Amino acid sequence: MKSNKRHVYGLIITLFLVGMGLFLYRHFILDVPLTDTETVNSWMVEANLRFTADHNIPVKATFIIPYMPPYFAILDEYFVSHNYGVTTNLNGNNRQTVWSLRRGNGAQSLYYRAIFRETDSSEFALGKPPALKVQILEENQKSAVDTITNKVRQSSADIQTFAQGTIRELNKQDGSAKLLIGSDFSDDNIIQAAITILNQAKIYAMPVKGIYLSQQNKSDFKSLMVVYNGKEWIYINPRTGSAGLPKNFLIWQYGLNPLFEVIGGKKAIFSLTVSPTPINALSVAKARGLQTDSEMLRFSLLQLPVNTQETYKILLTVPIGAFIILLLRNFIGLKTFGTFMPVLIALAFRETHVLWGITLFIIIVSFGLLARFYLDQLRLLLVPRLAAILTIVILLMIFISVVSQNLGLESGLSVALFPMVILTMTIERMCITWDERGAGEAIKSGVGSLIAAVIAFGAMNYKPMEYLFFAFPELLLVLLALILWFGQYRGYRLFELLRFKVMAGQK
Amino acid sequence: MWHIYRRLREQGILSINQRNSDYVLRYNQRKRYPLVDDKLQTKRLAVKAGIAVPQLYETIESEHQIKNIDEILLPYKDFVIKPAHGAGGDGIIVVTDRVFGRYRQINGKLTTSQEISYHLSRLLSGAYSLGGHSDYAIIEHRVVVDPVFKEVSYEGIPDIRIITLLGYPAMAMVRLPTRLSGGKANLHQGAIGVGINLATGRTLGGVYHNDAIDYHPDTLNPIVDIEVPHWDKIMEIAASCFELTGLGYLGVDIVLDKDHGPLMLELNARPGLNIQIANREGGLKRYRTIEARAALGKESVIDRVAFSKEQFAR
Repeated sequence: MKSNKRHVYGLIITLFLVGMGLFLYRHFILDVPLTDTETVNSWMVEANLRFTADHNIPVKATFIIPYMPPYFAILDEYFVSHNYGVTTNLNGNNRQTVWSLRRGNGAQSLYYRAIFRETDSSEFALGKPPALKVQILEENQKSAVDTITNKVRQSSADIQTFAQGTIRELNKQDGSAKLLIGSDFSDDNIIQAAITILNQAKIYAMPVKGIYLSQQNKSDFKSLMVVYNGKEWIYINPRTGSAGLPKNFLIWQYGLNPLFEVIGGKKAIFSLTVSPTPINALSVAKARGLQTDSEMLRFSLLQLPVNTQETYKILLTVPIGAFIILLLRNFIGLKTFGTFMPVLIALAFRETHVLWGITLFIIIVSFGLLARFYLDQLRLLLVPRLAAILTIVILLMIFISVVSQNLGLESGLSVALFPMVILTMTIERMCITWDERGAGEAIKSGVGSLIAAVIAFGAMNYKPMEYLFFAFPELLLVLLALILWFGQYRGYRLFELLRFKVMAGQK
Repeated sequence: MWHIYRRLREQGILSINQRNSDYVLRYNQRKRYPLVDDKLQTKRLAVKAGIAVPQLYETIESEHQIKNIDEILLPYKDFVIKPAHGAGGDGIIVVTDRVFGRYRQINGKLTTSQEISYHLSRLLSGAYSLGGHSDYAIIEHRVVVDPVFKEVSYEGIPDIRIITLLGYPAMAMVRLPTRLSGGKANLHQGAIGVGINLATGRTLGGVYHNDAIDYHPDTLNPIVDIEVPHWDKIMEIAASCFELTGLGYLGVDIVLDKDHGPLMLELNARPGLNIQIANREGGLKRYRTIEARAALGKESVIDRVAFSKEQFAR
């Protein structure tokens, strides 16, 4: 007996720990969200390269696509084209996609589509810059650079403040700046000038192209400058000179190389479309699981076909219902017809909703009982009698459906979802109880079954719970542990307290 | 609530959960259940072991026999029809006499042979058996109530229920049918439970539903301090049912026949808890005493009865 106890509790603890462990691992490490409604801000970015291919010569188109951008993670990406071979390769800090076709003709359109999710961390860091080559400048440019450098140097402390100062100085658009930039003070030109100045000061800097992800539809590239201060890279805004990478800035390309290139075609146009797509956190976790080859996610219900998933969503609530029945019977002592009949009724309540469910249940059972009492007089044997009741139950269902349809009560139609065999058995058992133990006992058990069904339904239909068990089926192990643990209960049921109350009073 | 819970604990009242796990599951092997679930098997075992039971007249196993039911029943003036797998006294018909070619039931109702046939058909199809399995009917000797209990029962037959643990009688009560219980000796249905002092065989106070009662509600005769005749014999029958079935935790139902003395009626592998109310005493302390004693080694029926009488005197 002692060893049996140890065995049971060992099993309970093991099950609990394994279930909880898996649950915590999947929540914290694999980021499976705890609630259904948790969404992750994500963006769909579509890059489109259009051009006209020259007649019958090989076409090779290249454009740069994001590669592990900071603060974003690529959830999914697609390359869409007609007949093109697609490869992607890394080129310095950038990733480019190469599309090739043996013979092209006419208008061509290449699509790259990616879904980006916002993250908090940037996994990718730029490597150390290559050795710096100081440019040789023309005389007038050099003096302009020197003027600015001198001005800025006085008011700066290190490489970062120097670079920021340079940007601010250029943005004053005074003489020296004009000499370096010309009349067009665009971001790109400012960055270009700043890089020249920093180059003279032996500081490595390069432009960064990217897009701000916001609600807009068409998106244009914006530029930032990134400066290497000997330890790390610092992003600087070419307008304000403020440092830091904005969180909603998706880096597309580093450096000066052209964004795209088409060989064997002309009139190339590159365009970007951005649209916010809030994605369910669960599907994000699922996609992440696919990427990371995590076995824990691979062996999850999320990999099943969608309609099977729906079935499992419902099936996984059944143990919850069974657990509720365990509580009601072993702790409260509620009497029900059949152990798990209330769980099945509760499943039917999902479709009928509680009030209608109870109404329909009572209608069917009471009419079924009337029929059963009538059948009693025909002196039928057990199986034919059950078959007759089953038929009557189905006739009743049809009747209710048709009548409620004509009355415009849609809820009445859901009666078809009641488990009719269970109803039949309930009617039969209730009738026998009625005969032998009296109406009171029969109605008591009937009401008990209904109460149990409603409580089980409440627990089973609690959406966050349903989701939790679906996303973390390992919680069933925890539930199993609880069932085993509660199954150890040897004390009195609530109704027993009432039954033995007499004995508690005496000395 | 918590107060009641604690009080019950202190009193050693056995709960359903504990009965199921600590006694039924531990001492009663599943494979031995058929021995007690099938009343005919129990009867045969008992006869073999020399325990007196109501005499078996006939068994009805097929619809075919039902057709000739009048012929089959012809030799018997009074008899009882019982489902072999019945529970809780359901499906039992007690026929006392024949009037105008009809069967007179104990409650005075006249029943046609057609009604008897229908009852038997239902019985065969499993209407009264646990789980609705097909069943058969036992027709046996009708027990005639011993005059001792005649005064304190209404219509039905009072029976003596003894709970035995490992062959030691632990608790006993008489169940007296009332008008409310419809002649059935079932406490749920309104029969009176009267505790019995194991040492003397004298009745203690009674319980009617959950209230203490000292007289029979229908006959108004006192039910306290009645001496149950043949008490030693009854205790021996109860104790020997352990060897009979191998079931450690048993409810033994015994009736007192006017002519034949104590007869073992049926056995129950999941005896109820009401006997505790009837005795005004929790069962746990007695069970623990018995378990401690049984751990010392096996004893004969006589020794076991002696031990129980000595230990559980009140």
